[in-house]
Amino acid sequence: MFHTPAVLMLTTCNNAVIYYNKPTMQFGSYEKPDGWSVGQPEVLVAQETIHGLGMPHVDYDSLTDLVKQIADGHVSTIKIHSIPDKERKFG
Amino acid sequence: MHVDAIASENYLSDGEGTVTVIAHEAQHIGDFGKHPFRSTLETLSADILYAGRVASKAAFPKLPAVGPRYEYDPFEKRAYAREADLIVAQHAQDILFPQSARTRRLLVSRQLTLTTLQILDLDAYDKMASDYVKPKNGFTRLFS
Repeated sequence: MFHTPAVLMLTTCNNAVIYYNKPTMQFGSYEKPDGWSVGQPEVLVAQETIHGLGMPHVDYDSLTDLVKQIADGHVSTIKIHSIPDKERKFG
Repeated sequence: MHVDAIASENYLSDGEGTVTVIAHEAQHIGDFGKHPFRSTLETLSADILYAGRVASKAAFPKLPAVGPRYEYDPFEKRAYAREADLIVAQHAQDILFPQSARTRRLLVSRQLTLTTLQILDLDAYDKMASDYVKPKNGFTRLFS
């Protein structure tokens, strides 16, 4: 049940490394839905997501209101993508 | 800000989907903007405690993990509370994917307008629109 100190140290370090160096996600290209104007948060959608869910309809005026109310307008870019099922972890 | 659309649109389809996640992350950004020192301290302490939890679970896999869960951190608690805020519910239709489970639910519960359905290329379901008016036939027009 109990590991030796060396194994304990290795597993702990390994988990810490995995936790702090999460695999970086690479996405090919992003597309911007229509209707964006200067001063509003940009919404970029990954090609994989468009293939899966279609190109979203974004109400930029309403979204800008939301972001201003919650984050005082500090949000500049929202990147929407989807993690491949193989990399998805539950729990 | 990064949002996983598949997870947020399908697994959070009872809520506001992508907008829920945007509100959650925007709360973090807002916290860092208003209270940078306090937010950094909270995040660091939560990271250290969570690393301890992961380490304890790795060391003793058959025992319950020691340390708080990540979502019990006050920094995360505020963001989870924001997800359930009425403001977020009012902005539920800010981002709509035409083929997502959440859009289907909104469609079936007649919460989308005709204009929105046309933008999403879902014209075929125009009878499910919230502002759909059934055209009158000759007989009803006679008595109206």
